[in-house]
Amino acid sequence: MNLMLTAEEEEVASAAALLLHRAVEMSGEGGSTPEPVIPDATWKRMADAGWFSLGVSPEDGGSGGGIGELVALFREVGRSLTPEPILGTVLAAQVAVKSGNRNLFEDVAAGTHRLAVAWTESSIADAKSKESADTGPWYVSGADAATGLLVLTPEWAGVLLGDIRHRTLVDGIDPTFVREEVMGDYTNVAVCEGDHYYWLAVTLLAATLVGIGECGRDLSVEYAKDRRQFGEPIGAFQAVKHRCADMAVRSESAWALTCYAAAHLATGESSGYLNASSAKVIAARSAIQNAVDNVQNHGAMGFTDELGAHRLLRRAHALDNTIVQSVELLELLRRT
Amino acid sequence: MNLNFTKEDIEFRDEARTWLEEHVPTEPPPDALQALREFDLDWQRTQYEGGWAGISWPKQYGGRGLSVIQQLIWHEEYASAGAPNIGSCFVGMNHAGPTLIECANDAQKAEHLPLILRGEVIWCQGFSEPDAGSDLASLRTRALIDGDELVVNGRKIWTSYSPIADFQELLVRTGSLESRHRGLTWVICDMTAPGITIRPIPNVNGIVHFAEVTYDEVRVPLEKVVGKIGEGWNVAMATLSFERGSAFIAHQIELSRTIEDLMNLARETSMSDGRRAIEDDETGRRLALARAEASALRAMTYRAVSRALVERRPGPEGSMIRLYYSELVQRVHRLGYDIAVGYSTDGNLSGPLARDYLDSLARTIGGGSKEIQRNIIGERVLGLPRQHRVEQQ
Repeated sequence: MNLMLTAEEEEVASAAALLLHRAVEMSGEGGSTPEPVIPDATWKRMADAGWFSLGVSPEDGGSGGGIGELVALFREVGRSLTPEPILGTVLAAQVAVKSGNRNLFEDVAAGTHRLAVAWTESSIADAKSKESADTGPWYVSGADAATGLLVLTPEWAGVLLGDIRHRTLVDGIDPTFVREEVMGDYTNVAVCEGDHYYWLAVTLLAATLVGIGECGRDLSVEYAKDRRQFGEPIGAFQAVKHRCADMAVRSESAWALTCYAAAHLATGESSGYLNASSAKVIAARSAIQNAVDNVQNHGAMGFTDELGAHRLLRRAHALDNTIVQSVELLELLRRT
Repeated sequence: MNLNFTKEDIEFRDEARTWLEEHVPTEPPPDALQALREFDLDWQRTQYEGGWAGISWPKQYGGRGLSVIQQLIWHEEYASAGAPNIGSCFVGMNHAGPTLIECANDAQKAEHLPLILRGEVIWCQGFSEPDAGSDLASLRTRALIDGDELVVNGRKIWTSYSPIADFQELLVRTGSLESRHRGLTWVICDMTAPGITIRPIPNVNGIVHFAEVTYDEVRVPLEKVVGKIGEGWNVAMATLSFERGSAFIAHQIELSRTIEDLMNLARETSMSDGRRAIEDDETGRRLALARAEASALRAMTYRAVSRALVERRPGPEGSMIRLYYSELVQRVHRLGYDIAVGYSTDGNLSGPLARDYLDSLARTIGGGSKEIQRNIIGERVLGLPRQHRVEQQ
């Protein structure tokens, strides 16, 4: 038993931190809005770094690593506010290998396909059947850049390739991470039965939310050491210091639980979904509250478009609403 | 990261579970202090005789010298067996013992460690004073050197289990009043020494656990000083780091069990409209969230144990888990009381739950208030500046 990151897992995290911080400008320098689409050159670097075959063994042609590498990567994805479709693409590689579609796997791993995560409203309660998958409608994040969908339900997961026919905006709180309802003309090219990928996605979303909460914490702590009022750094005042301490505790609890849930999923025990559910609930609360506190800690600057503190809050809500919402997960925890 | 336990760990878990099943006392600990002393010492002695006392202590001092992972397993099994709260043995086993192992000389270790392990003595902690609570370094209980003795005068307060204690970890001022943390000394005080007066203080539940202790010309031999004269602050910080780090693992794990019990209670208790309490949206949501938070607490505990695989003494991160635990435990006991009083007509049920609820108020005060924990997190984990202090002007 060990819930600390191994050297290999740390290595993935630091490589991701370097690549993503160069690629995505959190603060939207000069007041510009960050792009909702990952630039082609960055996408290529991600593929070259082996991200799209992470969690697939080298014998299967993947870049290896396990759940630890994946949560380490998605924590950095969150911290840097990198938009979709990374999650869909990473999971699609695993689904392709598991279902035996080698050509698809090789295309996904090489970065040829960009697969956006797709799910249905109340996805826990009613899983959409495979027979009705071809047209949708699906909820999708990252449709702009996508060449296909990675569909997640608690009963099956699949890769759909094809064209979008109709898109409707459902949730636009984060302009760089919108949720749309999508109808299309799709072909199901890879299917895996079971709920494994659904709960893996929930856990990786938790890791992404952890990254957002930690980013809010770090920006606040840095600012509280630097900004002076009444002749002292504001971080010396307990009103600010204690709020930062609470941000740290939220981040630590969310990260610990995400690691625990990830390691639990990796054991294959059937109760793994309960910790995954808890992790997403706790990580979403941490990310949202830390983002709100980070705005407050920055005072009026926090309320500006330019600073970008609002982007953490927007993304936190958008991720809370991705695949399955906290209210549905809490309902599951109440019923089980 | 992984949750895999080794074959030895799994065998250890089976062994611990079997022993606990056969030996855990069936009756709950009594309220009355003298009876509690007998109960706690009996249970400690039983654990010692079974080879389970001091599982985290080094073998050379009579402990089991187990790995931190096996300690975790022991605490998990201890909690799931419903074994009694460590109670009045807490300070000896979790404070004084580890502090003596780290800071005491050989003679002190040889005299005291076996007594603690074998369940022969109760220890109490003499840190807080009427005018030195969160500001511990301002304490004023004086100790002047007279020959080969210290002469102690002053007052300590909130001293849990002092009416039944044999020894005390006593923090006294040997330097000038202005010396703050530089002028303190940590001594082993014999509670039967002439000049000690104990005034019990009933707590919010009307139960006597803590007391005020007055020292009038109490003579403590210099050989009872742990560490050196004037180095008491470092020794005390070692003590507190154990309290904030590993001492509460069993409590943290027990909380999950408390929440599962509350879920069962809410499933069984009917509301006036015939539905079960868990069907109530607010109650159901609070229970579900508490469940998720208890999982987070367990995960933080596992991470602390993972960290302890490489670090010997718990770091300031211990304050994060302590703060999270203390606030969560209060929410959980409040929820328990709300379910009992809101839906159940069974006074035998609501009584104990009301008592647990009121009792939980102590969790954010004792061992460093939640405000102090937040200062530690802010200053020592996050590196935020200390506030400009009056005495520095």
